[in-house]
Amino acid sequence: MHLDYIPYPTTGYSSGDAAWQLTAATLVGLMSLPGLAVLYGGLVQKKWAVNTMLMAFSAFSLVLIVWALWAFNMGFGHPWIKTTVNGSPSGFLGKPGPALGAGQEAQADIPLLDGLMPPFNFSQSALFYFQFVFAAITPLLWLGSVIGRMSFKAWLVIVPLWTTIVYSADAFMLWGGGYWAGKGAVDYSGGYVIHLSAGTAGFVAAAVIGPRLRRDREHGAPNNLLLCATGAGILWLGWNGFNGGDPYFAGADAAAAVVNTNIATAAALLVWLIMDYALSPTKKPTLLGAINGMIVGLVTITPAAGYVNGMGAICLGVISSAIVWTAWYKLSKVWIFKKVDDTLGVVYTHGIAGLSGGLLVGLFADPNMIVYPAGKAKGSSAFSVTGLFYGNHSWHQFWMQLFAALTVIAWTAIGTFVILRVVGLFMKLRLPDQVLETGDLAVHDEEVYPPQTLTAVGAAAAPAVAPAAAEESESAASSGASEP
Amino acid sequence: MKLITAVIRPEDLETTRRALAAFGAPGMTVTPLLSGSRWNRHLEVYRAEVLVADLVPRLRIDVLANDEDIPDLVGLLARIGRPPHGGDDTGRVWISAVEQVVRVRTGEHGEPAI
Repeated sequence: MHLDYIPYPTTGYSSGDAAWQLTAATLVGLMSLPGLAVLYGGLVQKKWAVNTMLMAFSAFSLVLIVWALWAFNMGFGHPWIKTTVNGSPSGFLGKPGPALGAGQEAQADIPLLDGLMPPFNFSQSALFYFQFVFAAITPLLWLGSVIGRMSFKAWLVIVPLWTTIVYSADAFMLWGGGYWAGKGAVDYSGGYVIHLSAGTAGFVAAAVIGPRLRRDREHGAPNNLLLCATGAGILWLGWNGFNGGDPYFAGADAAAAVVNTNIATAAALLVWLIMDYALSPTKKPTLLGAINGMIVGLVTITPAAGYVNGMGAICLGVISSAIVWTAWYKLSKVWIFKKVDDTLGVVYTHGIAGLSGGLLVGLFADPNMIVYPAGKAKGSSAFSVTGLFYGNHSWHQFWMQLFAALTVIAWTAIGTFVILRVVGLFMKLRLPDQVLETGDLAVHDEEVYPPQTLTAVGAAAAPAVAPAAAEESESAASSGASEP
Repeated sequence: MKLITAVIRPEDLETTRRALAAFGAPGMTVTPLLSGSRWNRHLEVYRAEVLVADLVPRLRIDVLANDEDIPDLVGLLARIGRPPHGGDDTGRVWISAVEQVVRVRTGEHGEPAI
C-alpha cells in the first residue's frame, strides 16, 4: 500500500481536521435532536409523544452539564487508579474533573493514547464536544426501552448518574486508552460503548421499572410515520459524522468509514425488506421494518466502519440484519425477552446489532484499511486491525472483541441495575396507573395535538362576546412581540 | 327495540368492547366527539399560558338491543364508565325508542334485524 501521499499533518493544528471534527459532532448532535426525539416521538402512542420528546431534550442537556463538570475526564482523562496492561499505563475509569477552563483551547489530548496515535490537530474543546454528543445519544437511545411508563422525575435523576458511572467507564475502557484498549479490543465508533451498552441498559431498565399498561402494550400503534421517516433519515445521514468523525482526522479512513457506513446500512435495510417479504406473518414490506433494518445496518457497522473494506461492510449489513430480524420475530417470543417490556425493541436493534458488528470486526477487519499511517519516528507502524479472514488467520481479535463485549454487557447491566434500585428507594420509577392511562396531559399538561377549543383562563369566565376583527389582530401583534 | 347510547372516556373503549362481546351484544357503533361539562375541565399549559379544556374528547357508543336486554346493558355500560377517581361527570347512558330496524343485507325487519 502506498499511503505516503496522505500524511497527516503533525503541526498540532489543522483547520481542515478541526472543521470536520466540529461538523461531524454537529451531525451526531442532530441525530439526537431532533433525530431521535422525532423518531421516538412518532413511534410511540399519541398520548406519549410529548413526554418522549421532552425526555430526549432534557437528557441531552443533563449529559452536557455533567460532561463538562466531571464526566468527560472520567471517559477521556487521566486514569483514576493506574494499572498496567501489556506494559503500558491503563485503568478502568478516568479521574473526574471539570472541562471548562481556558485550557480547553489547547491541543486536544487523551493521556493514555499519547504516542499510540498521531497527535490531534484540533483543540480539546472540539474533542470534548465530539465526545459529548456520543455520551448524550446513549441514554436517548435506551430511552426507547422505558418510555410509556417511566417517571419523568426519575429520568432526570438517573441520566446524570448513568452517564457518570456507566457510560464513562465503558468509554474509558475502550476509547480513553483503558483496559480493553490496552488489550487490543477495538470499537471504531461505539458499537459497544454506545449501542451494546444502550441495548443492555434499556433492557435492564425496562425489567426493573416494569411494563407499560397492558392496554398500551396491546394498542401500541405509532402516532406519526412521517415523523418516524424524518427522524430515521436524520439518523442515517447524521451517522456520516458518527463514524466519519471517529478517526479524529479528516483523512482517507474517515471517508472510507463514511462509505462503509452507508453501504452496510443500504444492505441491512434491503435484507430486512426481503425478509419481511419472504418470512413476515403478512409477507409484506413495511416502512417501519425498513427503518429497523436501516438502524441495524448503522449500528452494526459502527464498531467496524474504518476497519473493514467495502465487501466487509456489505457482509456486516447482511449478516446482522438477518440475525436481528430473526431475533425481533423469534427471540422476542421466548425466555426473558418475552417477559421484559422493551417498548421500542432497543435491545434488538442496538444491543444485538452492536454486539454482532463488534464480533464481526474480529472476522472481517482488513489490515490494509489503514486507520493511521506510520509516523516519521523510527519503529512507528501504521495502525490497522486484522480479523480472522486476513493475515495469519488468527482468532485473537475475535476473542478480544468477545471479552470486551462481555465486560461492557456486565458493567452496563450491573451499573444500570444498581442505579435504578438505589434511585428507586427515594422515588417511584414507574408512574401510577392512573397517570399512565392519560399520558402526556397528566405528566406535562401538554398534548401533542392540542385541541383548538382550548380557552385561556379568565377568558372562559367572561361572557362569550365575539371580539371585533380589529381587536383580534391587535392582540395577535402584541403577543407576537414577546415571542422568541 | 331500543338504542342505548353511552358517552365514555376513550381509555374505557377496550373494557367496553370486551364487556359487550362477553354479554353477546351483536355490534356497536363508536363515534369520537367532544363533550362539554361544567364538572370536567382540565388545564393545559403552552408557553406559560394556562388554557382550559372544557370540551374533552370522548367516545359515543351506540348499541341496538332487544327490550329484555336493556336493563343489563345499561347497568353494564354505566358501571364501566363510572370514574374510578372521582371528579369526572361527562359519562352518560341513555335509552331511545327505536321504531324500526332493517337489516340491509337480508331485508329483515324488527328484532331479528338487530
